[in-house]
Amino acid sequence: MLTRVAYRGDASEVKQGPNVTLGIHNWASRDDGEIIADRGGLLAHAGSVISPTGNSLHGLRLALETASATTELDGAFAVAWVDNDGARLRLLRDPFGVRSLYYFTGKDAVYFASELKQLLAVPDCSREIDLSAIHKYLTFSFVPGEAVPIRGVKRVLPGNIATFEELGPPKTKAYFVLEEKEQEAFRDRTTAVEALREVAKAAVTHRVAHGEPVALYLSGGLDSSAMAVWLKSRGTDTTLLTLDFGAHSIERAEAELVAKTVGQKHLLVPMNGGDLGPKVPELAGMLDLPFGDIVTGPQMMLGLAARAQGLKHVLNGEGGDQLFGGWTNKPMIAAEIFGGIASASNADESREETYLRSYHRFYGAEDALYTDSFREAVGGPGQRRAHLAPYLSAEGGKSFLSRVRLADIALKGSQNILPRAERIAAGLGLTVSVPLFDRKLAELSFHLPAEMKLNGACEKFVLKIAMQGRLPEDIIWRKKAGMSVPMTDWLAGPLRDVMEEYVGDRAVAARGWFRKDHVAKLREGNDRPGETRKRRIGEKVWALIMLEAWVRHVVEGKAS
Amino acid sequence: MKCIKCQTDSKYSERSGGTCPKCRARFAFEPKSGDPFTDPAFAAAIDRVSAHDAVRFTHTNLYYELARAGRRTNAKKVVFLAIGFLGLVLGTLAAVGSGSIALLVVALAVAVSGIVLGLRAKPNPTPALTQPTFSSLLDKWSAAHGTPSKLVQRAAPASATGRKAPLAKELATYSFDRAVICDRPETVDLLLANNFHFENNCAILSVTGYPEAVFGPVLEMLRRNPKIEVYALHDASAEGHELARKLATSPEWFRGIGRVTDVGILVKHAARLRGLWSASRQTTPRAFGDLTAEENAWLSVYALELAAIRPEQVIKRLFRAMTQPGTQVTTDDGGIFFVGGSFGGSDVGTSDGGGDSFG
Repeated sequence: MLTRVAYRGDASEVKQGPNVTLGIHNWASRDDGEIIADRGGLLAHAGSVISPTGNSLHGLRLALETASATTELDGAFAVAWVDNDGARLRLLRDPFGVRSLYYFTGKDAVYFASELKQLLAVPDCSREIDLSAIHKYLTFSFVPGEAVPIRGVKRVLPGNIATFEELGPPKTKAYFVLEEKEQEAFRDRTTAVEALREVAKAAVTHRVAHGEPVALYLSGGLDSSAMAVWLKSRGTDTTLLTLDFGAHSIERAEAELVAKTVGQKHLLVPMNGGDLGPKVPELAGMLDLPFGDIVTGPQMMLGLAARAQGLKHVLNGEGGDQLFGGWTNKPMIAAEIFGGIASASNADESREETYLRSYHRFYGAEDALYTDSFREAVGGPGQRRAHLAPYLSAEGGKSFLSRVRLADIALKGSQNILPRAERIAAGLGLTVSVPLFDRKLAELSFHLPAEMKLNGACEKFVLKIAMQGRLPEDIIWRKKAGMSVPMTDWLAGPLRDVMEEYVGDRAVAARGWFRKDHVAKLREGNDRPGETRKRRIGEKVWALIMLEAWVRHVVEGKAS
Repeated sequence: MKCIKCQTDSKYSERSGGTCPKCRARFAFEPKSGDPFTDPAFAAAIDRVSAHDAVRFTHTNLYYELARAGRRTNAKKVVFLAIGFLGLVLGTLAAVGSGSIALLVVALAVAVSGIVLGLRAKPNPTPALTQPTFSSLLDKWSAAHGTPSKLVQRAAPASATGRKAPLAKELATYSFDRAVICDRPETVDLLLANNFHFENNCAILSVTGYPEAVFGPVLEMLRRNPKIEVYALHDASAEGHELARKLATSPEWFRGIGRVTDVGILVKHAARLRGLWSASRQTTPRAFGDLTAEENAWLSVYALELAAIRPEQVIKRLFRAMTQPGTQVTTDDGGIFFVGGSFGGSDVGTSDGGGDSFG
């Protein structure tokens, strides 16, 4: 199983205890995991653990022995612990799900691993694809929840502890739950900004060792620019990496301005579809699960650029939108205000349905896309909405935007942005840190009053105020541009052959999941008549390509 | 007439009782009894206006879709051309039979006149189909085949706030980046039902105060954003012509706040959609200084409703207009607004307002 993740390190260690074998593969030169056997049992952890007390091992032990919710552990880790009798196994994931943990129950043992491909190497493990998980992927562009698209395999959810005391399903418990607790003191702007600066700097400090050179993916937007400021303020030698889409670049000039402001080394990383095409099999293998967002290719290119610079640790500014009320909240507000006023006769939709539509993939296009056999196999209605109900429909005095933010953090953050970034980095031998997804920072964001996040129409208000005087005004106050990956153009040009290979007529017919005519229409650049944004066609086709690439290169083990 | 359920073609005598002889499905219409449409023709109009069941449409959109079908079969053109060709054939035969050159000359004159008049004949300015006739046709259709699935329905006033009432205090503290202000509530319904507000993160209101349940708080939200981008969407009408100016200059709307852009149908764009015009609602015709005498004369008699443009086109053109800068206009009292080009493209002007191709 360890050889399947050879890219995760240069050293392997295996230890056995009563009824258990634990193994780890990591980098000997980095503090990124170990196996410890002592009077408390046998404990293996992969990744980095942050403990406010400074004694992370003690914090881990406490959490594992008591399955306690009081622990303040943070970081990016996957942990397994077995007690001295070998009678109890506990699996623990970090609060936001940077690292992953999968498991299945075989004939006479529970198998677990930090990557799905390791479990697929176990003869007992099924290779049957669970189409209900694929159905969810087609809505979200990632697979949410405990189930993964291999029948019988599940994963521990972020911020959860799973306890196995016999063969069969574990008992799971959340040790980390974000709750809205607005504090009056933070209505004072200065107090709120000072608290943010202090906690954010600590989040960076906890993740970057003193004197360690790092790379930062700098888009030119507010979040990654703020990260550049905080890294600079603690004197970290930072190489700033910005994607260069040539004529399609929309934030390159802003990134250059930020780099000049913080006075750090800045490199533009050329990005075009032609370079990405041959890397699709490798990318799908790294990702381990299907991830359909178009940013994965560009992230891989950034990782390659960091590695070429001899750097081992990369950071990004992901998380600002989810924590501090980014633009993604706005369509939900519009839908909440205008929902139910006018609709077609059969189309009054719930908050959950609106949220599902916000992913802009195939939600609502099932009739056009799915073959009859696929539709029959995906199961009944309500599966996708069920992932959202705990957040969006929950009562208990939570504000509307808090609910949306909780859903964003739990789904977009913990099950998409973080795991995919970690896997791409790890696949290239890098360690990734995402300081904005910090436990204390997230808790602070839920203690801040709503107007410190979305203030009128101004997004991430407190973060903008915190950056005043540290970044140019234009960087702080300009409108969000987002990463403009010209995927639709690439698919019509340099990625056309890749598109034909993975989602051409023959491939689609052979898989049998999708209607050839609909996929052909998408390939030709046509979508539903009311679609106003051309880029969404490329996003949909790319999601289908990455799904087929995952089946071929991860499940079926085919080489490119 | 063909049955739209089983496609069986039946003669009048075979469909006694108004049902298909094969599958027994009910027909909505009977052309032999004076209905102006067959079931397949009505179904085809629904299919076109909904872009093959993908886009939601209002009653008025469907009315104009059916009117557009009548516009294509321009009766005057057909009559004149028929006279021309008949004159040519019959006159030539008669002249050859009688050997009369004079008869041949007369026949050719009738033929040429008929053909020239036929080719130049313009459709009537307004649709032959009346709104009351359309309403009864739609009722008949719905009784036989059910309400069209993409037909926009407005919620009853009691439940018009949807999931909650009134607008949550928390939401009212936020604002929007942009807003579409329409001259008609029906246009608001069309955009909301097609999720334009969600897709484009914008508020949608009518200048008349619709939707009533949220109008006041939403207008307050909009006015709170000093950079609000406002798009005025309207008919080619006297009221529509005034809309952007009113939004930009009225202290109750956006005077001194943000930027207003006119993205509605301009009078100069209406000419080519003759046949789909409606009567002007002006009681006292006004002369607008920025319009030509011909345009003012047209406005005093006619209007062109936005609903005459297919919904798919409206959505795409509005989106495009919102992403392009307009031309600045300064009003007499110092207000500033911009004129965009949403409905000025050649593809609407040269076609019948329902073209499907879009760059």
